[in-house]
Parts: sequence; structure tokens; C-alpha cells
Amino acid sequence: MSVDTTARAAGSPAPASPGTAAPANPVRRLREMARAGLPEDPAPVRELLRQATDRQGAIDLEAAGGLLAAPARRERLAASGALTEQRVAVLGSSTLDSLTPLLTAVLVRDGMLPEIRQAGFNQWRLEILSGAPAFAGFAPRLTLCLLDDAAVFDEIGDPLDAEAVERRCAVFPAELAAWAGRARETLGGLIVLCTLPLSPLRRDRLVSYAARARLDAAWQRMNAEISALAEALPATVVLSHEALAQRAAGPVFGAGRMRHLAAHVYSPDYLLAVAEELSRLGRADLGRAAKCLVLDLDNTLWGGVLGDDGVGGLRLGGGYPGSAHRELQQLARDYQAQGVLLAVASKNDEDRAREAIATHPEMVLRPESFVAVHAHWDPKPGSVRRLAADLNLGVDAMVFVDDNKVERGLMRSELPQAATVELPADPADYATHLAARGDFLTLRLTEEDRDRTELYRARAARAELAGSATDLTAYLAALDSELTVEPAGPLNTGRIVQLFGKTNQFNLTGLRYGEQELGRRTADGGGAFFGARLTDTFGDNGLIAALCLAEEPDGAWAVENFVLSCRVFARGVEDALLALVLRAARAAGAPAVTGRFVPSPKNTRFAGFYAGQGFAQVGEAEPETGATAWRRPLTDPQTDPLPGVPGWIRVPDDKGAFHVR
Amino acid sequence: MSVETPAGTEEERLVAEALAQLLDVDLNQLTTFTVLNTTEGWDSVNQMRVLVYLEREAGGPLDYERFMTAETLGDLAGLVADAAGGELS
Repeated sequence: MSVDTTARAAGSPAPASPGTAAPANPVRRLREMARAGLPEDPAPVRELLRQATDRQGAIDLEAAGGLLAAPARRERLAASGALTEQRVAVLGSSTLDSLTPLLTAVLVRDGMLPEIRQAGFNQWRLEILSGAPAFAGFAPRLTLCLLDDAAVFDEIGDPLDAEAVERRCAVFPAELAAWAGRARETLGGLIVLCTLPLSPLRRDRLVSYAARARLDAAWQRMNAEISALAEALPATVVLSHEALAQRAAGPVFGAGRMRHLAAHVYSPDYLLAVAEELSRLGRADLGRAAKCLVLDLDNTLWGGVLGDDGVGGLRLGGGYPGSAHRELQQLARDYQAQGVLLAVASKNDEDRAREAIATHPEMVLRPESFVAVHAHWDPKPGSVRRLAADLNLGVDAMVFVDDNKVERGLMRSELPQAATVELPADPADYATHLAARGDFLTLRLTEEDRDRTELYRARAARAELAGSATDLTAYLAALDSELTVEPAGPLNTGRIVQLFGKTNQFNLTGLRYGEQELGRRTADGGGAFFGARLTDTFGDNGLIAALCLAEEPDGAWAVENFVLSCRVFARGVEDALLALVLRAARAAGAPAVTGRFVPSPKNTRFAGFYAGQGFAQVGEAEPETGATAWRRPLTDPQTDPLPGVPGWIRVPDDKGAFHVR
Repeated sequence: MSVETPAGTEEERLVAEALAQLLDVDLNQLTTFTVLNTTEGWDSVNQMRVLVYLEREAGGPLDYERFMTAETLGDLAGLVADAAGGELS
């Protein structure tokens, strides 16, 4: 019997009810792995923790975290170099012992190496007042203060005295603010506070509805003021106990016996929700929030399969399930408005996918919403990897959303660093589920996001000025624009690639270039790439145009593609750039400059661009694509003056930065 | 059942699993006769964790007095068997 039992104990799940298929027990597998010696690469550990999160409860994750916290195992995790250290100090008014292993489990799962220290039981106030001896030399990045309602009520003599309760609730936020200030001075880092849930017994001892409502009002005012500390205090985050409670798998408060026995106020489920939030916060604090959302199309962004159902047969908007897919699009749109980049990875014919995105009347997202649309039949991990490279992001900044389990499994095995979202079975919950993950949470807007916001503000200011200027030329002159051309180099290549990739309107040939292609062609002389930057009285617009020039067999300069950001339309920038190309080509002795225009649904507005610049059409339009070829001969400078740069644009270095070799 | 025999009944295996998981001890070292007080990690904090774990597995509360006076793994298993009424879920 012993042999049999041992074998089962090691390899099979805990006793389960008969008929249940043997459930996977990731924590048991983790324990076996831990006892045998953790692997050098923590990836399998992280995968088991991820599975444990999905399939098991807070108590199991606590056990998992306890296993990993053993000093030798922590050393092993640290030695891998694959985890980023995150230091957390925990203070509270109840027993929070289990928070340490829970936090260990979720931080390791999320790629961090936890260093967690706790103050003694209910020492939150004294610890900080006495100069934080328990945290001497610790220097936490995050300091959590998790209080329960006893922190408020302990100083009220008579809980039935409504006025006393109101007075106490009124002063408590200021007390907490002073505490937070002192904690920050003593410990540094980010202070993490949380609003306080009111336990049922506090309220339910009151026997009149009026008294209960009065207590609720005082309590909610207090919590509102605690929330407001996030804005009022530097380096302070305030979590909402209601949001945590909603995420928790069980009740906020633990079993009564555990409270009496061991001062466990909060349930393991609630503490797990706290740990999860701290892990998100920890990631944000380390600047590791995800930045790009990669979305599947069929049965994800819309219901139905484009290849089978056609654009008209897609379920999007209207009633369920179309409404659910639209809700996901609206979430993605709002993410995008806050600086998240969107991309598509779909198994579809590219033309049909783009057509559906552009034309379906219920689409919330539009072609310009996406930095890239990868619609083809190649494996998606390749798309995500390429996207990350094109956008100059790490693969761990990518979040992948796909209804198809097989695609998700492939992504997880090929690109475990990317976050693959385990979608619920019903599309009705897609948006809620994705939003709850908090992949894109940042402490505040990053510099870049702020710049983006700044950019939009500056744009609004420009529009305002346009309204006040009496005529367009005067307005443009008042903008005091300065245009600089720069060849592609290490610092701007990512943005140039991105500009070619995501510009749809002023995009003359639709040719897009990957970073590698750009580097290769620059190196072998097969093409020259340029970016152009525009500054004006409202600030720097950043890189707003990109060009690819190549040399024709007869020595003429060919504008292979030319894209211009819609942010600077109607300011003559395109005229100025082409004038600079012409000038440089003549200076280099080229016989002509040529260009092509390949119509797309988005660029038709610029079909007359080359004609307007004095180019003549060569031959007929190609029947398939409608593409037209254009040429401007460069003859004698005396008899053939070139168009100049518009008078309202200054070009500080107008020696002709453009070249083809 | 000899002292060397790993825990045998369903409840014993369950308790052994809980102790192995929460106390980080070798599952194969645990037997019916394993003495809790001499088991590494059996402190007041871990006692509570084991109690919560076993109550979840048993699907109901365990008798606290009996839990605190249990001396061996087998004693805990008996407690779980009683709490679960023989119907482990």
C-alpha cells in the first residue's frame, strides 16, 4: 500500500470527488519543482503561478508564495537575473501575515523579485512615529498601509454616539495624511493607502435606519477625503476598497473565528486582491506597464468570421452579441486615447480585413486607430514580435487578445513574455475582463503621454489662433514654423518606421518599411530615408514626415514614398519638403525627380499632389491599382526656377539635407 | 500500518498534503503518526493556515478545541473525517 500511496501522493491531485476529471494542481507541481531545486530560468515557475491563479484559490497561492519565500529559493530566483527586484513594506492594523506569501506569489508570477517586510501587528502608527526601526536600511519602493475600521473606532468611546463617530471620521483623513507624510520622509518610495471598508457588525448594531444612514454618510465622507489624498499628497496612491472587493473572489471580511483567534480581519480572497493590485502598482512603479494592445478580428473585435460571413454578415453593434464586440472596441478606443497603441493580428486576407475595418458602419475603431494591421496567414507570434520591434517596444509591453484558445496557447508558448489574455467564454464579458486586468495602468501619465496630451492641447491652441487670424497666410506666419530634415539614424528610425506604418491619409504610395529593411537599404545604398521635424510657437510637433528616396537607372531621384502626419496638414509642409528634394536633386546634378501615387481609400485627397508641384504624368494609370507615375525634369536653373519653400516656413539648414546615396 | 508508512486514508493524505504545502515539509516523510509539535514549521501562524486550508477542503468548520489538542497527523485526519461527515468534497 505504501508504494501505491506514495505514487499517488506525488503525482495525483488531492482527494477529489469521484467522477471529477483529475484537476491540475499547479501548486503541487510547484512544490515538487521547489523541493527538487528551482530551474535556472524562472519561466516555468511563473507559468505554474499563472495557472494556480486561474485554477486555485488564495490559500493555495499563499502556500505557493510561502514555498518561494524560503531563503535558498529566493536566492535561486534572484540569481536568474530574470526578475526585477520590487521592495514592499507592509503596515496595518490587523494580522496581515498571509499578505507576504500572497504578494510573493503574484510578484514572481508578474516578473518581479519580491523583497517584502512587515511591521509588527497593529504597529502602523508607532512604527513610523519611532522612525521605522523594523525597516531600517530597507528602502521600500512601495509602502502599503492597510487599515481596517478598528483604526477609526478604537478611539471612539461609545460607538452609539453619532456625533463622536462623525467627529472621529472627520479628523481621520488628516491624521492619515500626516502619517503618510512622515512615512514618506522616513522610508521614501511610494506610499500606498486604501479606503476603509466598514464591517457589518459596526453598522448592524445600530437599530434605526436613520442612525445607520448617518454612520454611512460620515464613513463615506471620510473615505472620499482619503481618496482625495492621492491628489493632495506627493508620491501617494490611494486604492479603493470597493474596487478591491469587486475583484476579490470572496467576501472582504474573514471568518469571525479567525478574527477572534488571530486578529485576521480580512479574508484570504480580499488580501489576494490587495496583493494583485500591489503587483500592478509594482509594475507601473517600475515602468513596466504594457503599452500595446494587439487584437484579433474575427469573433474578437467583431462577431463572425470575415472570410465566411463577409463584411455585411459581421455581428457588430446592435443587439447581443454585436453589442459586446462593440463594447470591446470602445474600451480599446479609450485605451488608445490614453496613449495605448493598438494593433491587429488576424488570420485574414489583408485587403478584406482593412476593408472591413474601414467600411463597417458599426466599427468604433478605424484604420487610423491602429499602428499596424497584421492580417495574413502566418503565425501570430511572428506578428507580435515584429510589431514590438517596429514600435521599439519590448515583447513584454504587448498584450494579446484573441478568442481562439489555440492562438492563445501558441502565443504563450512562443512568446511567454507577452501578456496573453485568457478571455472568458462569452464575448459579453470580454471588455470587463480585459479592463479588470489593468495591464496598462501607470502611476500617472508618462512623460510621453503628457507630451501627447500637450500635443493635442497645442493643436487646439493652433485651431484657436486660426479662428482669430484674419487670413491664412498671416496665421501661418504667426505660427513661426521651423522645418528641419534629418536622415534616418539610430535615434529616429523607430519613429520613421512608425510614421510610414501608421500614416494613411498623406501616404503617396502606401509602401511601408520595417526597421531592418530601412537599415539594410541605407547601408547598401538602395535607398535613403529621412524624417522631418516641425516646431512652432506652440512647441515641437515632433517628427511629422518621412520620405524614402532612391536613384533611378538614369540618375533621376525617385520619391519612393512620402508620408506626412495629419497633425500638420494644410500648413504647406509637404510643398516645402518636395521643394527641398527638388533643390537637392538639382544640386546633385540629377536629370529629374520622379514620384508615384498609388490610390488607397484614405489618400485620394492627395491624388493631385504631384500635378500641383509641376510634375507631369508619365503614361496611363495602371489598370489594376490606379497608380500613376510622375516626373519633373530638372533643366537649366536660369530658365526653370524651382518652386520655393513657402514663406511662412523657415528651413534653418537649407543646403539640401536630402540625398539618394 | 508501520511508522514508516506514508499517510494512508483519504483524510490522512489530505492532511499530509496540507502540511507539505503549508509547512514546506517532505510529503513522503509524513505518516499517520507524525507528531505535529516536532514538525518543522508547526507554529501558531501556520497552525491557523492549516486550519483554514483543512476547513476549505472539508467544506465546513473543524472543532477548534480538538484541532488545538491534536497531537498527530492522524488526529487531524480524524477531525477532518468527522467534519466532512465522510463526504469529502
